[in-house]
Amino acid sequence: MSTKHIKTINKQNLIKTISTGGCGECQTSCQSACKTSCTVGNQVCRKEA
Amino acid sequence: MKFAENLTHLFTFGEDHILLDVNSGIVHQLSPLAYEVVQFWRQSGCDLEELVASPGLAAALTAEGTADDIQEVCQGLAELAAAGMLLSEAPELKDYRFSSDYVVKALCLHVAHDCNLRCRYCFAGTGAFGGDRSLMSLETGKKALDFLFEASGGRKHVEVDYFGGEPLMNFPVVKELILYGEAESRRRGKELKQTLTTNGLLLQGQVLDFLNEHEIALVLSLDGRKEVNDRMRPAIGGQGSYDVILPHFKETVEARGGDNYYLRGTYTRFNKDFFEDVRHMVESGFDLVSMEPVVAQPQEEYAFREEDLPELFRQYDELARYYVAKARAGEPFTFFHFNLDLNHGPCLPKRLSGCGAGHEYLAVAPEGTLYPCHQFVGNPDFAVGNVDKGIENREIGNNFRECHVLAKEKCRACWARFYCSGGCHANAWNFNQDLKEPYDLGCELEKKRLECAIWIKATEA
Repeated sequence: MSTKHIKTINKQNLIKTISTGGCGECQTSCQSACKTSCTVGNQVCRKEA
Repeated sequence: MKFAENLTHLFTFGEDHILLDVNSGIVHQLSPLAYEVVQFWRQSGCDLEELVASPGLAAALTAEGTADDIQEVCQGLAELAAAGMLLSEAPELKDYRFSSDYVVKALCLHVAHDCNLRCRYCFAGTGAFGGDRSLMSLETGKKALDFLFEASGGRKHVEVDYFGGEPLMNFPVVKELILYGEAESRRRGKELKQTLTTNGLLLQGQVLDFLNEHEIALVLSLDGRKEVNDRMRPAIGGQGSYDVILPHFKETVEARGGDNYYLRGTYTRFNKDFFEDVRHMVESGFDLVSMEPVVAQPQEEYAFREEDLPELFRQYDELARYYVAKARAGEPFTFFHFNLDLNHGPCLPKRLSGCGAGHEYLAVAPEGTLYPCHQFVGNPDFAVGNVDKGIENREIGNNFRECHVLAKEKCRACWARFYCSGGCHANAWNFNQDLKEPYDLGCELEKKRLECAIWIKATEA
């Protein structure tokens, strides 16, 4: 939606990925720059990238 | 349909108003008028269908807008709800079952339980993880990689992080393991990503050339400004490390074309103005940076306290504005925790399962014992097996897997549940001795970082 008052900024619907996702090929979250926190949301899906 | 706190997150960054639909992950930017309408909806407790006709709505609004504008906002909200983009429910989650397969796809290899720095906040007890200072043998390292290749089953992408202590104190073994990993992954049809986390003291000459030639991803540890870094990251003799490691890091990054690394820092109560440290990193020529809050027990003088949060939040605000300003000036940099991809991010199954510690991700101690992650290494209660026999205690891994985000009471009601995935198991254990009880201070900082990251995405849209 993009109107004068409401602008939607992304399209990915997480709920739909519950049936399409789960291949497990993505990076493990703690294997990058993070070793003391758990930040999964900023990983990238290998299938989508 | 009433406004529901556990299905949404409404927040303001500067003058921008943002509404996140939690289950769908869809983000809406609101005008000042739309924001006030949503606030009225939220506070009045009325149904969305009756919102436009609610007595008191027009009087409650201070933002500019006509009756037609109010009508448009209410209609827009109703359309979003009907399309599953607002107040979306996720009944699928109630019956969701996690796979019971044991697929280990990532190892943290503790190749050196020894270190040439004496960082004051080190969770590894200055490198030894509470035990003897020791190095992993080549034989043990090869067994660990063989275990990874076997235990990853049908997964094509697997990962290993050479970690410590300081892994370059055992470089001859690291070098052989990198070569072995390359050869074995090719032979087995796997894609092996190899990463090394280093303090940089030994990162020079042939070591540097080898790591660059083999495209090993690097995590380079620096805490920012010289005085900040040297206070917490002294060498064994007490002298600072900044003047030695910064030239090493600059040479390393330049030689690899500025790619495939993160310059990673830890900030503490001693540098609550950590934005200055991130800026120092960026202005020193590094454009892939990360800065994380120290995780320390409250008795430590460098540990954060709850009263520090407002200042830390202000620092993240400043950092986010700096991030946007740099991007608009054509000088973008990457800050790990702002690196949110709202359209190509991980799927919900990944977000539910989190970091995978204990079942997808394991750490290997120098003598070959397997632990759920690097932060549990050395704790015998959490030993899950070893590289000779593989996983022997599946109960520990199953327990970690069952401590997913939906199993944690606090997380089920939290808007950030699908971004942090329930937080760090080690933090939960170390602070609360309960894997299902998240570390509160870490949660607050995670939520703040996420608000900044979502706002940044809104500025880019």
